[in-house]
Amino acid sequence: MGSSAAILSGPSGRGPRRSLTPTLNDVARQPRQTIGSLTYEHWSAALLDVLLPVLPPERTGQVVLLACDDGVVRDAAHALGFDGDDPAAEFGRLVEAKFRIARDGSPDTIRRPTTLFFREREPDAIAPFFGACCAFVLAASRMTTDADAHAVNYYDRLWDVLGRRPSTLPPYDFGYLPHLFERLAEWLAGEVAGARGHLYIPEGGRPHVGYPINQCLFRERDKDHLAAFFADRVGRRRGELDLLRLLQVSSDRHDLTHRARRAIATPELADLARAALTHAFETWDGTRPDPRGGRSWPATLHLSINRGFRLTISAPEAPAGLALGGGRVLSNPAFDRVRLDNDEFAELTTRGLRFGPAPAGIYLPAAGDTLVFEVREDSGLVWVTAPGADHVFVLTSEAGLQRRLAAYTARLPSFGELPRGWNLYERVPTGQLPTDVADIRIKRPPVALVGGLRIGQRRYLTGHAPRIEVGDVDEPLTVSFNGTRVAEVAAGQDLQLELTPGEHAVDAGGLVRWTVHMLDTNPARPKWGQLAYPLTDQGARGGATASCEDACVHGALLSDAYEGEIPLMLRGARAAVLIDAGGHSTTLRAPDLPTWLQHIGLDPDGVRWEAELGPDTVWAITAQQAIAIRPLALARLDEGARAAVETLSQRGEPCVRSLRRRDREAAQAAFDEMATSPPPKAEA
Amino acid sequence: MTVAPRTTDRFDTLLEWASELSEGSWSQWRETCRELVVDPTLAMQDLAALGHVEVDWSADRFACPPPTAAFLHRSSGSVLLTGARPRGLLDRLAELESELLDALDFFVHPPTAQLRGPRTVLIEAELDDVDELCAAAGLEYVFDPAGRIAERLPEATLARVAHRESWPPRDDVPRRLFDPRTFRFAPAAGDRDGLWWYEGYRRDEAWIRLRECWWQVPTREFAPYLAHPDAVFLRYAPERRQLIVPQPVPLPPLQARCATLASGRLPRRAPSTRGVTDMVYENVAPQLAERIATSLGTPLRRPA
Repeated sequence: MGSSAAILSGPSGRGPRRSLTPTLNDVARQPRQTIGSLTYEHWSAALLDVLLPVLPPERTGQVVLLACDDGVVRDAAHALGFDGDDPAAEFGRLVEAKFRIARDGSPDTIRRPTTLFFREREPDAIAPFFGACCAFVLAASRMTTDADAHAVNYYDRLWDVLGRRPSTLPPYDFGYLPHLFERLAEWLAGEVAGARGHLYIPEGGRPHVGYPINQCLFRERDKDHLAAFFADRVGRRRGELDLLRLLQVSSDRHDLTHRARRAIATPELADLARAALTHAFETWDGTRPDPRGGRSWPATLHLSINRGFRLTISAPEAPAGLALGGGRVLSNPAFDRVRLDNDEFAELTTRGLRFGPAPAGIYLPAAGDTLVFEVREDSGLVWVTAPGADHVFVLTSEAGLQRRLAAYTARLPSFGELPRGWNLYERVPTGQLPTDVADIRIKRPPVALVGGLRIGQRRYLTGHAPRIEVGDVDEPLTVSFNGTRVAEVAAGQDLQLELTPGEHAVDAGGLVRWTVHMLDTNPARPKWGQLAYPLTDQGARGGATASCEDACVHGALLSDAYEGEIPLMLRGARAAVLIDAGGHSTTLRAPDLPTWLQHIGLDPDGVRWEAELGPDTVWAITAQQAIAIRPLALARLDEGARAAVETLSQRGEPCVRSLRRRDREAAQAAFDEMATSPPPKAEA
Repeated sequence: MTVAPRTTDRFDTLLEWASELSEGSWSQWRETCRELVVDPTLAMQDLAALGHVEVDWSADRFACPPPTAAFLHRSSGSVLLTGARPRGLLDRLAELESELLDALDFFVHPPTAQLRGPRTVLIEAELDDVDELCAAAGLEYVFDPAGRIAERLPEATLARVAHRESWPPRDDVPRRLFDPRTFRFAPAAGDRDGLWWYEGYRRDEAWIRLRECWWQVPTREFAPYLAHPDAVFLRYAPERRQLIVPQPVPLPPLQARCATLASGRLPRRAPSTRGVTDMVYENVAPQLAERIATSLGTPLRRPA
């Protein structure tokens, strides 16, 4: 938040002096402010910085509105360190104390200080009427009706803000208001040189009070509709959505007041409207308007079937201690469940269900004659309007659907507890739901980048780009890549992106802009092998883990090294003579060919087989070759060994090799020695 | 809408993506499986059995082990390409065949497709050359992972693989009771001893009720074997070297990995005389089959 720049130069060049108006820095040095220690000027300075902060140079002179509401006053109070319960009341009291607007039923008392302010031309001073203007707009923000003609509605809100009512009866003389707001615009444009923007004064409406009313983008009634808009379209995670653009293409905008609709459709006000929407979203408490009045926290409907049919509701977002009526209190909203009886279930299906007195309670919207439940890991079976699971439970009273899902009829321990005419179906594949029920699956966010092979934030493998999904919007969205318009995508449609390697700027109808990277490989790939499977009870219980200190497995890899010998592979031979270090021979027959290799296309006739070697085996000799396990020329050979060596050596160029490549030359020499210098026969 | 790739390509793509990511969350895995039209849980189990991924179910994360060459017995002296399989690895192996033609003796068999997994890549090699080949290709090398992991499998008991709970499972989650004769789960009243399957969002949870105590079995594949230690689930055909596992009672992850890495192939699905589909693991040595059965405390019989 920028400073209010209230160090003033004295009139007529008499040198600098301290303004009577304190700066925000002044008040910031006082950590906690109590009621009575803050002046009208303090509030004016704080409101100026909250409402109209000094703009960055590139935005100097942009159009602004004086959109003061209770949220802005709370922010100003926070900046001032105000610790009272009702900052708006305190602010209004100070405005009234300074200008006696309510007492007189007129703002005329502001005229004189305004005139003096402009006459004295203190260039950096905060206009003395600024706080009063804020109070006028604050009253407008609290208006509950749309019609501009309801000036009485405005006056009632103003007297509330100022904390007293006039002693005189209407009509009231507010003819000075237009002049006041024009003077405000003049001050912002001239004295502040547009550093805080140029005040936009919309035309139309009531001649006098229309001026503050026109400054107010969203009224309390709009806030209710915005809460519904946030709940239905945005949810708790706003992501990168442009809220203004979303509102512009959503049918929800039709519920707003005429003034709000005009504001979101006016290009000059786009930044203001966007900022106001963002502020409303960030201060949204998660509730939504209740059709029966007030605001309520959404509830969750749970289905239990193990020991009979039972429906309960919970409201984990509701505040602890919320009274639900009938002596029921949500003392621990995260865990408390309220059981529904058959009458309450009937009410849920037809009108929706609400517990708790106005204006705050919990509610479930009307469910109709078919409810779909899916299992959630943390809360069991819950009613959903857009199932994401492959299998769901269906509770329905619709006869056609009951016939269609008959094969999935739930076998409950007791059927007597089901509401009359209703049946429950279990583990129904979502694809089996009839279209009208399954249609709820198409409920999408307004626009989303989905699919593709994502390897990082907006990073995808080439060949697998994402697609744009468009949800429920009123008009087709124009999609552009790198500034080039490529397609229009209507509600419910998808657009598969075809992107070459590199960086791409993707704009989806102004609702959201993404920078998408297409990559052949992952340049930021972490090291492989981050998880290991402990060969212990821990592994048996939890699988792999990032912190394994015991013997473990990474895929096929074991943490301990293999210490044994590599096997000898033989191709084509039906048998081999194995000779140990003592010159004793044994004949090893080839095993049956492993038939499984046919499954992977290997010809069993051409495969090699493993000769199982003893610990002392030195040579393996087949009809075609001699293989040195260890390249030793044995001094003694038994009859079988001698025969094998001699048979092979009588071939023109006997093939000699070794188990280890490094032993090849030594193997040849050793075999030659055995073949040419026959050692004495070993004892049998 | 995207056109879903052929089934055999999907798993290769999934493995390639997972390898490029190296490690990620379950939600990322699920999102990619949805994109590739692949069942995420089955794919995770199968790729883990093949040694391509490790899964930490409690932290909902997965990670790829390094690219690995695993020697398989009775495979014509081949090593199986397992672990991560990043983009370009197969091309690199093909290049090495030319580059090292005179220095090393190896041959990359044409990859073989399988229905529910990535292609099987076997490299037939002079075993003394494998270390050098792995160094050139950036692979780890492991000898006979199936047998060596099986040797180290601890014997499963309730105390080892389950958590004893002093309270029964949540009552608002649907449940079914397992019948070891039919291999089926069915709704049942009361709290009988046996294996109860509680429905979960990602997958069902296994709870064993035994003498009024409840045991939650986090790695639920253990549950049928622990709940019914006398039931005959596993069968072994020594002449064909096949381990036969009924699909409703799959092997726990490491046991499945041992059986799978005997051949580098996912088990074949085959109809069974027992009225369920069997999973047939190939190239399983008798000692390996016996070791797997012992680790589960379950009998091993010849097929009827």
